[in-house]
Amino acid sequence: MSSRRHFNPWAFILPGVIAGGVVLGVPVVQAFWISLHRLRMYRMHDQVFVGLDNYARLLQDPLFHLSVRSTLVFSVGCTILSVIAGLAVASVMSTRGIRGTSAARFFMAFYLVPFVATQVVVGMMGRLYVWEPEYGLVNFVLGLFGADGPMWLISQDTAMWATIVTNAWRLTPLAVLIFYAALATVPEELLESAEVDGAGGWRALALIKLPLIRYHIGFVALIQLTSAFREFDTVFALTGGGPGRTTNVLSLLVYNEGISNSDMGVANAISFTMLIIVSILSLVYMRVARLGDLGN
Amino acid sequence: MAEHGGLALRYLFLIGWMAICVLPVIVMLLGSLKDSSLFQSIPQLLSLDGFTWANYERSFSQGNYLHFLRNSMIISFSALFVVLVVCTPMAYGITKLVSPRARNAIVFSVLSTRFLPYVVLALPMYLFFARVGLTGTLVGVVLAHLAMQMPFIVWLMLGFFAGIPTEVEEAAVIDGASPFGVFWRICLPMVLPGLNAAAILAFIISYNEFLFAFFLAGYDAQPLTVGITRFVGGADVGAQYGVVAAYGTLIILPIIVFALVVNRYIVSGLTQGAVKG
Amino acid sequence: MLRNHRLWSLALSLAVVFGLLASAHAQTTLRLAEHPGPHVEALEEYFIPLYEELTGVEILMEVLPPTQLWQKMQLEAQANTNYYDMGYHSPGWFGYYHEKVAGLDDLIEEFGFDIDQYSQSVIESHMISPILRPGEIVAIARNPQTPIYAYRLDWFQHPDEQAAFQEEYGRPLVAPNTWEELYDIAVFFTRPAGATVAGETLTQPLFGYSASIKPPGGMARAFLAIVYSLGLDGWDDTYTSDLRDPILLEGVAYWKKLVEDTFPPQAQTWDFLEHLSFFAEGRLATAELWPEGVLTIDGGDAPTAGNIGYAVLPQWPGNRKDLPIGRSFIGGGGMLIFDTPNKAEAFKFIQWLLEEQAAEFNLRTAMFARSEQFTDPEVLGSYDFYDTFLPVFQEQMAYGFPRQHVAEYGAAMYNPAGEFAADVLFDVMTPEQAQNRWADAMERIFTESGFR
Repeated sequence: MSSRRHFNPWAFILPGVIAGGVVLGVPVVQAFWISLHRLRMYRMHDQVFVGLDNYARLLQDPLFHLSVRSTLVFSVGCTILSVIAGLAVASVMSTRGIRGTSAARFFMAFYLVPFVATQVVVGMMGRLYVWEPEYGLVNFVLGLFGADGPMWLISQDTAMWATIVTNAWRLTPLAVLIFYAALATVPEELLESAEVDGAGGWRALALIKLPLIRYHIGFVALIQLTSAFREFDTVFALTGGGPGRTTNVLSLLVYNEGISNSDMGVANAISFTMLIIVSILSLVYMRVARLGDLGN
Repeated sequence: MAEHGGLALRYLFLIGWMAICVLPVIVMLLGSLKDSSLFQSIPQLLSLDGFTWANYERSFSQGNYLHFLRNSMIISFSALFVVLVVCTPMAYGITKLVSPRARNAIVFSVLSTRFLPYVVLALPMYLFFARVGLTGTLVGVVLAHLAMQMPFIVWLMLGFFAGIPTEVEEAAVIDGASPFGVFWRICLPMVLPGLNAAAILAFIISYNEFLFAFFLAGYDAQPLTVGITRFVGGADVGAQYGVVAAYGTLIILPIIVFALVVNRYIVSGLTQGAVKG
Repeated sequence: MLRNHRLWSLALSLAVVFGLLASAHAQTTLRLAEHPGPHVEALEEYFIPLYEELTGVEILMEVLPPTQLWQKMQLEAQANTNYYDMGYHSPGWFGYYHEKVAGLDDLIEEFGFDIDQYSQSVIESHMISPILRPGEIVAIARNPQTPIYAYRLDWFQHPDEQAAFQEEYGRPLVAPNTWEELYDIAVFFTRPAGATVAGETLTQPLFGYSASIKPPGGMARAFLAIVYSLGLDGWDDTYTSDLRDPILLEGVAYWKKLVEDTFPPQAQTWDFLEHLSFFAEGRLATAELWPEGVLTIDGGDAPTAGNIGYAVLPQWPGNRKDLPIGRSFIGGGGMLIFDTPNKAEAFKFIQWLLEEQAAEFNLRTAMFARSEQFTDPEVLGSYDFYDTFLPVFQEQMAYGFPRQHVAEYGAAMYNPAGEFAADVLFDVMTPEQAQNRWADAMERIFTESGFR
């Protein structure tokens, strides 16, 4: 390839780098810049430099701590749930007699539904038809088994669970797809030799398949973790952060401080902190899961 | 390989999962066809009691469905084209970088921006667009969608371009093709399936997006995801659950049907890059 | 390959069609940003079509949920788009876009609008903004209102209920005079499914009292009735917060008890006035009533119509202002005009709607603002409930709290009130912590703005 001396790949890359700089770089720098200022929506022309004051205030604010905690619970919960569900479904889909059949293709098409469903609508659907305590789908199904379902979204004890399940529902199709494709790469001979050794079914899954696709599990977990970490639409439409502050994740706190309370400085300090947290998370994760050389 | 659990049991599991995927949507669809004051239980949804089209009529009349649909389409198509025009050459260029360090650096920065919380972008964008007069416009929303989609689409296209054997390109160069010609006439047709997948995914992501549209678009530019909020809150809102369901169905059903039709592109798009055989 | 080409040409042609559609509309139009409520249907189905027919001026109304409404009006004003010509005016949020609002004095004079139809307190709370826009009229009031107490008259008058209440509380079952009495009545009526009320068996649980308390906005709207009933104003002339007063802790403790013991759990997910639908279904015995929701419970279609009693908000004994009854802020709103080239046309529409069509507007919405509406026999004869409703409405308005005209009202008082109540209600913080947080934030905001 180096023989093509006149070819400069940067000619192709540069427009993208410039566009990315404008639409991604500038706002991020600006977010940091505003976070060092006092800026109220109703006094937009009155921007005062305050250094790290906004950050100092955040660190002392119990609500910020609460939001950090609920964001971590939420994103870790969504990740674990969607990875487990994804593995379960993909494993069954990959079993002999199902993989590659037209039935499998049929199922896979419908498994995409949660992935393409509009988040705001999922939130409203969840609130009005799925988690509604009196006539909703979940409590109806529980009722069939004679159980008396909880209040879900309007009880502080269960709201976070319902929110996690709703978002994990949306995230799982990606996990199913990737695991299904990854399981196809497990060499058939390996499985056959395992079978000879008496390791079939679930044991083959746990001992042979899972270790072989561990890289994909790591990748999916990273994607889900970061996507849940920044989720706004679903939670906004589902609970709006309530009841109380139970599901008030950081992205909602940003909205609340910046728009409702019109404190742009603090709001940008929160979002910049989110950026730092998510960068650290992904860096650590990429090191641990050795994802750094992905895409080569 | 001996599988524990008979075939029937495994099918039952897969059907159960399918039910989990589609049942909420079906319940909402049924609910949208009911006079909502009558809706008090799931079994009742299956009956014909209180059947009505009124919720859909209100979605079109008061809810101005067509206006918001038009905006959704303009935003999604514009975003799709802008995103592809910027990202496809970029992904191609990255695969042609000779120095591994440069390549790793740029792949890493693409990857790390993929994890950017959108709300980090939304507030500064709002302030910036307010200054240059772009708030409330379609342009603002499309630019925001470019920011949101760029890392993902570049990432996706990287995987497809990397799959092209170098011999093909070298042969074209020997035949006297220019660098752009190689890209346009040789490589692009070879990644067309990937391009389709990218376009479809970009379209779906833009169509579903709410946060940026909510922050940055005025009524003239607002898509369906913002339009539905018209029916949230207000004096007679108790009677509006049915309309919310109807409007929600009108938003979600077209995109689901579309996804079912083109599902093989979505599958290939999402698995590309994550899985290499 | 053919498949691919087909897919792409389909996408291209769709894009072209939608692009053409996008550029298709062009005509002189007035844009109106509105708040949901009974006036929306009246405007949509009657006034706007009629006005368009009469004048040929096209009017596009956008209805946005309350919070989004001021956010959008602010966005457009900040970006200077001249997008909205008119908007719904809720005084608490005026500061967020006040620079783009047209002064109306010249127009009022030019078109001969009768400003004397509005009482002094309505002018003060809804039509001027002495701090932000001194010396100007900036809006026309349409439905200034403050919440009252509504109850099921038929149940209150039922002999079984009266006897049971008398026996339990040692006093007759009548509308409450104090907030503590309001609590007792609410607890008295909170009953499980299967119990009876007024001789009938309940198929669903009955709740004693409710408002729509979705945090933070809805919670604020409801809880401020307590704050202002305590005799607190938020801050004094020196911009020092009066919220450090220990009476606020009594108030919030009462509120927690009231919400936990008598509100339906769904109330915390309800948006503005949503609880009134619940009331109309017979699942509430008493409720907070913002007057613009009166048709939901006492209008012709309402199952509860004709069975509603009205009372002013009860007193908080020991309140800091010796108020004889309770009070909340004067809410509701009016219409304002943005400083666009269309402002004269917009004013003509508002004058037509609120002055020329005053009686018709009232008939269709049960909204009151002009003094003639309180005396017009045609208006007064239109609903039976006006006999009992209007005296209560007017008495309560006389005690309504006109909100301070500062841009900081929303950020310093309104939103934090909802956060405060929610944080205490859900044990996010101790009441003292939440109180300090609110008062500190308020004073910091005023210091930043240079008031202190």
